[in-house]
Amino acid sequence: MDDYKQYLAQKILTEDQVVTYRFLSRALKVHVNTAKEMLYSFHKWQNDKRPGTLHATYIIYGSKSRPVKQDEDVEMTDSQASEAMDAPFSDLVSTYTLSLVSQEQLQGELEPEPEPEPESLSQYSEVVSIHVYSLAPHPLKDLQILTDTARQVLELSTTDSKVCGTIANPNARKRERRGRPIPATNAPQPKIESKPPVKQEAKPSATVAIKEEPKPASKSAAPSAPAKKPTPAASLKRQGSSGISQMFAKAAAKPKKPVAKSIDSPTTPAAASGAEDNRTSGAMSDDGEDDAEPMAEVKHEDGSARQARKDRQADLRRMMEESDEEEEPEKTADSPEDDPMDEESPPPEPEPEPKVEEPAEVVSGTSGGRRRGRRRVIRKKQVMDEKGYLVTMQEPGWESFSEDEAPLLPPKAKQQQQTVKSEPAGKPKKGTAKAAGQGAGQGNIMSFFSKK
Amino acid sequence: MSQLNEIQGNLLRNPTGKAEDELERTASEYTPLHSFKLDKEKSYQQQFADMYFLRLTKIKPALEERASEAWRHTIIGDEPAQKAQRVLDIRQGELCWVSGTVYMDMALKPDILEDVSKDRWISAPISNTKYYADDGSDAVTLEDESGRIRLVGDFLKNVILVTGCIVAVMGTENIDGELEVVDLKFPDLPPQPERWAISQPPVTKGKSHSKKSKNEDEEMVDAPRKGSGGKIAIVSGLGFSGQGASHGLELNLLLEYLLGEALDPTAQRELSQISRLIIAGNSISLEERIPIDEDSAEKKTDQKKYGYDSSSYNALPSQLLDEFLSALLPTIPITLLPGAQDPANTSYPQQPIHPAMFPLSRAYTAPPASTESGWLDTVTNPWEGEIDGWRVLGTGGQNIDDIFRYVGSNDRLGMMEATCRWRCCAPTAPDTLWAYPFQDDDPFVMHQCPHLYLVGCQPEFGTKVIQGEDKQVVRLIAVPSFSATGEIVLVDSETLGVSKVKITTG
Repeated sequence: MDDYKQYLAQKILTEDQVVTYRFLSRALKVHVNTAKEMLYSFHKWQNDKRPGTLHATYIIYGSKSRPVKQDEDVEMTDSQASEAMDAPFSDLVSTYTLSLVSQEQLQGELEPEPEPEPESLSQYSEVVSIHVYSLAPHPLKDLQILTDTARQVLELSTTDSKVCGTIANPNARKRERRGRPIPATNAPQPKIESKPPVKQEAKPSATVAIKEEPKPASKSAAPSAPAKKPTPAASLKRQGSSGISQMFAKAAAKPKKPVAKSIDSPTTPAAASGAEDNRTSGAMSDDGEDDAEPMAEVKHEDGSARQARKDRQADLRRMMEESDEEEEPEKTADSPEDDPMDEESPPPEPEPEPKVEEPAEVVSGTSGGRRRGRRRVIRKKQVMDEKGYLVTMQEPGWESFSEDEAPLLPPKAKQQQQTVKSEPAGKPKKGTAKAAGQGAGQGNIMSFFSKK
Repeated sequence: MSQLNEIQGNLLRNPTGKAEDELERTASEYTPLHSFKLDKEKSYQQQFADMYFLRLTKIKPALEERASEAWRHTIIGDEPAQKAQRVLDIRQGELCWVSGTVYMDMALKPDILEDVSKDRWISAPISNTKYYADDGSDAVTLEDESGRIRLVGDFLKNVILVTGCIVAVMGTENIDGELEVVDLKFPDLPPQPERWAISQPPVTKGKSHSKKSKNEDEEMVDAPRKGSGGKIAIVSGLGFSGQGASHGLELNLLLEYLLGEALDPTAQRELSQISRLIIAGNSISLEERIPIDEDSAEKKTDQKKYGYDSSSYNALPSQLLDEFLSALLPTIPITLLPGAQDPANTSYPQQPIHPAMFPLSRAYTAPPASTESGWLDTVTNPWEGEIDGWRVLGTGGQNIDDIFRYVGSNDRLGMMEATCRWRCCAPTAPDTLWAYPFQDDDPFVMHQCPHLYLVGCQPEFGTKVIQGEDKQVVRLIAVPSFSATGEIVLVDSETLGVSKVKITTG
């Protein structure tokens, strides 16, 4: 029974921490009310031994007497009374006050002192409940410090809330997520983590000038070097950039399952996924309504597909890492003896996307009528030379894009099996005409904003 | 110390070691209506004029019925009041009555025509200043599709009038071409549905309902007397901010209060009666947002290709809100209305905050495309629905804030009452309250009178009951900002009685 005293002594006196009843209840897995009592008894016990070592805060809950409405206060606890009268501006209603006060403020009241503290018991006409909120080794100057402890509670909150005395609600319902034993909230994390490298990779010729320089060098060296050289690198990059979008493409292209009615029942979460499918392919509205959905989509895949995707994803990530490493030598590579190295370095996996010719545009994935990928563009670049003149240079470069699906895509589609798979079956597309107008080289909003 | 011993829920004692009851929260009967939901693919090509026309045609029949009833036998100076079909039909010197839309001509009111003529294309920031000028320069005019006439007379001083409300006026046109108003009628409260009009009452638990007041008894004499006997908690202006809100502790206490962890077993039992939380706007605070200075914004433009620019956008407020919601959701269902500062569209009706804002809480939202309401229901502002059988109309407060600018008074409840009597919850849209240009329907017209009308983000708490001629009874609640007052409102879902809880520290 004295375990808690030991725990509290260590936490408060040794580690110099503030302990709230919630923290204690989570830490010791006891009911919050028990925790409140423990705090009280520890406080009393410790301060009897050595007065002034512990400082408590208290919660007082009750109705306060108000100067004007004092007489109503008691009767007004029945909410009916307020119904009867119509005050000109507002009805008077019963007000309960929950206040957090420090020990000093409370004591100021309990001990006979002429001047009552502002937030103390005498302000209350009726106190419904009172308990210890927290214990600290020092008087808390600013009670807001307690928010930090509240954050720690949040981290500890994995324990069963029933033990702690949170009011249970049997009606609470969550969206079912298929085949995810891990908590749903953690699920998206790994995906997001995989994003940053992709991002860096996909960024067309990075904005920093230093990074800009080596690239053209390697590009211009390409013609003289064996023709193969730029291609593996490019295709690697392509795969790299496709990593995340492919996942979406896969998910979006998933065949719809026969849909049952309820989302509540754990057996038919496919309903939700079906519904989301519908929406995703239906319209990509500009208010961002659907953009987030593919994330959820991923979770609805069935086990085998997910496994396959995971494998591929892992492969891709590995490839990306390799290509990352590879890029460093490539950037500095001016001499031909680097080339053999380059030819060796492509991992044995390029089979999934076998192609030798260099396409003007590579689609790495489609999701719900939006194509993502990279394309080759000639970019104009203006630099100031050492004399202060502006020099315009044309440089080839890769640029990632994502746009509405154009009808000229299908012939290209065979380049990538994903594209074929995700080809949405005969859905009406509003943007088709518009997209058709956009040639391969333009039409992407990103190209408009990218550095000239 | 004697005082302490009298406190019933005194937990200042040594651990008793007795097992605590497991509390279970009262169920909430909840049917949201999607009256204010906009199409995902919406066009902004339309003109706003249609809204006024729609509003007038929708409200006019009821208004004229009421007006002709009232003024049928009105004879002033041997002259009976004649109905004028249109504003243009008013003859000088004849006593007549006419209905139309009020337009307030105010010098301080923003005017799109002025902006256009002065070549200003950037919308002015929304300020809290009043349009109302005390010097009497503001002109009240009445217009319909035919024309416009200025209203004068002392009678106007007694009523709240704003642009866009539909009224009928009786009077005579004077020599200046102005209408001297003798009397004025509002459409008054629309018909009120019975309790449990849409949803089904839950199976009775054999509770006695003897504590009902007279009003309520009249009101729902044949409605089934069931229900959970719970309470609805309403809060607005939680104001989560990025830089450690000054009321962070109050928010924590609120969380503990709603979770039922604070207080003593008896009080906790009462807390378990709170069956639903309505958050009426401004969950996120704008105040401490740093203005983006030009220089850094320019530098960062090309790095914003994906995601957001962390130098100009702080995700922390929404993360904190998400944590708050996700902590509460396992125990209490939440209806979340957006407000002026929330990440939703600015124009009325504000569309639901997208669940993607809440990575932790989104599992509780309804799947997209499903018709069921989510456990966390992110809804429109204004929002209409049925909670425990009562028709509830809630807004994030912009409608009343905007009306407030038109009038000299501070009586927020009076303005709320006026919107009910006008049968229009946002009359100043689209004039000064930004609104979607509706083409086929003006959703702001109240077809059915709510039982509970709540408006969030108000400067102070207020509540009253208004009654209509048809025995409609509406409970009005002005919900104060939690960040400013620390107050939350509890509404008894059986009686619609109101109480509030104030959370303070210090």
